[in-house]
Amino acid sequence: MKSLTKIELRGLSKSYGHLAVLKDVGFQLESGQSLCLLGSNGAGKTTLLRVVSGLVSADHGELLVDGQAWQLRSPEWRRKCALVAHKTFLYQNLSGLENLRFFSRLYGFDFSDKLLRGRLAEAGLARAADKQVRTYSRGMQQRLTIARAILSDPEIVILDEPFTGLDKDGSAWLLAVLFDLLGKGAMVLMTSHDPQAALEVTNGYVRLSKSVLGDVVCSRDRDWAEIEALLYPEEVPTG
Amino acid sequence: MLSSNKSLGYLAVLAAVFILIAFGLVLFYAPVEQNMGMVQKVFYFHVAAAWLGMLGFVVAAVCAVLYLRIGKLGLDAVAASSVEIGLLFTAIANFTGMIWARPVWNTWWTWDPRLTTMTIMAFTYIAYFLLRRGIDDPVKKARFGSIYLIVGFVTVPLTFFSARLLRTIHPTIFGGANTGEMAMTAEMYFTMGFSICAFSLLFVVLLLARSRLKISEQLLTEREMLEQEEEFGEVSGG
Amino acid sequence: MKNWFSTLKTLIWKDLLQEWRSKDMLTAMLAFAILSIFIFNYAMELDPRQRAELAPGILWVVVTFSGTLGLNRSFVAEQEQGSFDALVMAVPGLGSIWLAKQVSNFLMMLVLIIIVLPVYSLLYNQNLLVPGLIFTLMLGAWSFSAAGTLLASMTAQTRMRDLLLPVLLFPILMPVNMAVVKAGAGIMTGAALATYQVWLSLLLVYGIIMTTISLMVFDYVILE
Repeated sequence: MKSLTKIELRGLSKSYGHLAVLKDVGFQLESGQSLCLLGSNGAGKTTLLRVVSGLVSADHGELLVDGQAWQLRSPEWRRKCALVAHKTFLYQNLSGLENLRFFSRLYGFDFSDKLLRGRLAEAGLARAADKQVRTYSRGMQQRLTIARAILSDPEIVILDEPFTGLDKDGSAWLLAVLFDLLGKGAMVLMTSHDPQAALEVTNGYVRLSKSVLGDVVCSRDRDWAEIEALLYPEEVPTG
Repeated sequence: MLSSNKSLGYLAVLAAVFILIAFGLVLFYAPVEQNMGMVQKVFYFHVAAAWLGMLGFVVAAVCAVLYLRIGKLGLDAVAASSVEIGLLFTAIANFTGMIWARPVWNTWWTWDPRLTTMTIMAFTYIAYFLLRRGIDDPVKKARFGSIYLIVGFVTVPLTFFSARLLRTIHPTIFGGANTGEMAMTAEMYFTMGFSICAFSLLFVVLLLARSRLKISEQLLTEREMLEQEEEFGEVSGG
Repeated sequence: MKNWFSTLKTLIWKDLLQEWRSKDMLTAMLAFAILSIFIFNYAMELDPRQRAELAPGILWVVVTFSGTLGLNRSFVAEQEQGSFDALVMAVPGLGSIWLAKQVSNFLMMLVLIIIVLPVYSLLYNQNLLVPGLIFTLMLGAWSFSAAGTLLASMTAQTRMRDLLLPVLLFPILMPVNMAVVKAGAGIMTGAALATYQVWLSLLLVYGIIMTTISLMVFDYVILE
């Protein structure tokens, strides 16, 4: 039941004073597509993600959803986006189940506990469902964070280094989740310090360097070495 | 307005001249008040300083609202400068008030509503600076500072009203001796008015000078960050 | 409208549940409040009539200082885990985030007052469970938490956090302090309503103004 088919961001610029963090950044995503953002630390990836999710204001820029102009800073847009960020957003004194219950209610869903427990089980947190989040390991908290984000079957999923803290099983689960979401028509924008990990579910890689977004390198039917060469042409050994 | 050093310089000289004239008026032109003697002359500066303290707060609050709407950091610089200068003049007002109160009422402090309100306002000013000190990001500093200024500004009339109410219900031991109760002659009014004008001019000069300094500091910090980015290819907090 | 109310309920419930589990705020507040009552006893040995007049003042000082301790803790969860971002993304009207916090903090203060009043009455041999006084304290608590919640949402994001809140809050709160103490004294000494009614009106006005301003300004606190 996806209503969005395409989003387009154009001319996103953000400066802190005279310091430009994003210069005329633009990209587009279609339903079922996933874009992976690369760049060195401090290049502005997190800022871009936060601008796209409507948390941070851009100095300039526009958002087009299926051709219609939308406000990035509008509650309607923010609600359509799901964000997984560096911080967990979880309430430490509440149990995993209570956290999910809280967030689902906030989004206006009346999910039964049974359904929520099912989601927790899928995330591998069945046994910890009633334990307070403060007792969870880093990996478990990351799983819960992701489970929290996908509660509402979001149409736009924004993930900032989502593989952090996840073990092999957790990473496999995350890939399965992304695969599933993309299959349902969602759009995914993410960053990863290990870009290869996301190779299976990514349609394209793009590099943010010196506040400017490079060209998208399609990753379907290409191996990583080829993609890397295209992304980092300056590093290709010559001679 | 903030453009040239020269125009600011002229303005400063003008302000200095006015203040000197004000001094002269106070010392030689205004008559000596019969009850209180020479010490009453502090009054002319006291009222002017108090007025400026209030003005500082008003200007700051206006800039705060404008900043939240428009977002130009220059406005925040003006707001902060205005608070600084307002604080200075509030301190002067309190100090001159005490100099006056001691011989006249035999006390250093009264719970006079205006005095109480101005002092609480001063505490708000100081809190404002502490708040700013606790934030590193200049944009957040400006945003939170502006919010606090607005909240503080709104409470000033409420504080004044409460302090005055307190006074009427519990009359002080000083009977009816209020700050306004003096027979004022025409010369005194003139001196007072001139003093206020002179000090207002001084306020404007100080505000312009201070704001320019702050804006320059902002630009310098930005340039340093730019250089850092160019050298290391990254920005802290990016 | 129904959505807004249900969002508010969800947020308030979350805060109360969090507090119930950790009991951070209440413990700090109560410990401080009860200790203070002991200290005040040694500071003031007074005759009963003077005690009655002073009681509201002492009570309010205790409530204010304890309340500040509680307020400091109220945004810790959001601050540490970045939950503000999650709330901003989920909740359409950001003002309801503030209002929910305000209501939870207010309820916390009510609990404090409900516990402190009987303890004080017992220790000072003075009946403080007077409806008028309780009402005044409630009005005061609302104003206190309105101003306090707004300021705490900012100080939680600064370096100095706990240290900064009282410094910011107390100058702003002066009208409330005066009003609570004066109205309370009037009530406790059995004065006619007309003599202290204006203070109650002032409390009401302050509460309304502070709530309105907070709702208007809160967007700027949590949106970058």
